[in-house]
Amino acid sequence: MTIHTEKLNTVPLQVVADLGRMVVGADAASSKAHILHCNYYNTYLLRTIWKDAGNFMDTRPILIGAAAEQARVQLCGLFRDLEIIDPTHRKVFVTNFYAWQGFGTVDLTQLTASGGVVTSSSQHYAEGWKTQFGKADAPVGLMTQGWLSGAADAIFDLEPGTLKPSQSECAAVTGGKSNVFHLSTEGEEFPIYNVGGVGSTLGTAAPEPVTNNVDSATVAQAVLGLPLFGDAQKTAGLVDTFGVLISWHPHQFYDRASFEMVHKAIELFGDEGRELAEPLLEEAGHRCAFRTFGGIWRSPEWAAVVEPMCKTREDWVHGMAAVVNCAGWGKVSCTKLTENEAEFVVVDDYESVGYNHLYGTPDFAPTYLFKGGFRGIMNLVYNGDIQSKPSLTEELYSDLITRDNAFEVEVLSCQAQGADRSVYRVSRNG
Amino acid sequence: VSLFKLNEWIKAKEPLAFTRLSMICLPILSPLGLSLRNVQPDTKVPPDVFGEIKTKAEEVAGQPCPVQNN
Repeated sequence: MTIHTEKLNTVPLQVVADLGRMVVGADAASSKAHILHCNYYNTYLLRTIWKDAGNFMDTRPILIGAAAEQARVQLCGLFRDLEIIDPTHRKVFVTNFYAWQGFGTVDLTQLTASGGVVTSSSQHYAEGWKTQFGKADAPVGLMTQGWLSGAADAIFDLEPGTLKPSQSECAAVTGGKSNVFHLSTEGEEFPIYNVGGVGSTLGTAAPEPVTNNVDSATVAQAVLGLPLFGDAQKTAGLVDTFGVLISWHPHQFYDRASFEMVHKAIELFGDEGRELAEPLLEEAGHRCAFRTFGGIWRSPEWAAVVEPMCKTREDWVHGMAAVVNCAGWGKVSCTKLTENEAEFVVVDDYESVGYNHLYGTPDFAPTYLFKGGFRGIMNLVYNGDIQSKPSLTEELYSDLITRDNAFEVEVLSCQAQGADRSVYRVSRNG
Repeated sequence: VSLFKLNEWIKAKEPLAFTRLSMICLPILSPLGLSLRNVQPDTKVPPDVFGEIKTKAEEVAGQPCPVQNN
């Protein structure tokens, strides 16, 4: 069978700028909206769900199931849309798609419909874990385990969950580079989640930001022109930029894993469980802001494109909001801003869209990433003097969140609960 | 007093360490109707419970905890 190589090497990404979304997949049932995150967010979230919440619930299967869902549903649709039939061709596409998302590389040559070994010398989560936490005491590739299981189901037209994953070698454990995954019909079961589609968005425009000097359209054009996606051959499937490793998960992976954990915490411990889990989910966002936003503010790209527009300190906030609007997170606008407080509005924030799509309407506000993110922006701009481009050290991080006048966030409204937007008020402690 | 002192010790470690420990200890303290967030200087727990919490605290902090159960 002949097939155009270009089809196997090209991810059909649609940048839906007016919705603030990055969609891969042509049909409504299997498309997924991808979002930018960094290794600091990913591995902090992984530790929270896998290790911390793992003290009271079996979270490993949740993480595997969440990743398997994304891979299986999306790849089944893509194979259909792109008419990729032969398993050999499908493996090529899967390898490229995995790398495109910044996850690293996988060698699928030994994989068959009954399982096999998958090796990798480049893994986002393993490298990210080592950077943030040092060596791990167990293999950290849970996302990849699930993703490979879902991908194998799609490649060989298997029933969901047919091939169970495991990992025998992990670079985060050994400190080396080698990672070895296994897929088998025997093994640990995991929950089969099976929701497709990107979910409903309101599609309304974000409100106008408070007057500033940033040309958001120019910023967006520059950001979307950057090489922010991975490539198996050129970058070993990693996206090393702004001092972080970038990834492009479908947001429903985060939504599924995070909200399953929150739901279980509520089931076991009521509001106490939720209230203790939520600050850790927010903290992942704050770490993301410190590392990724901080890295962007310190980057030559910022200096070349955005910084010349920045006449005031406030413009640094608006400039970052313009960048965030290219991350697939929703449409962000800063509608009030002083050195002591800010109000951020987000239309179609990905956690709200994801919650509504996967679970319906919640009786709590399931928005964590933005809380941490906006707090991080204010801490860095107004307490961290990011304009002087300080080194992003753990000492600075600790100082920013423990000082008496650190910023805190209140959710004024949440789209997931029926509001027409999510609104966050950021103000100084006390 | 010991559990209260352990709380103070972990709060002085990495940011969010106390929050992490509070969540991690939910299954230990919840059956007793307690939460680390509500511990007072006079809060008492059985020695084995204190030992469990101290072990978790040391895992979170990555170092031995000097607080003894008195």
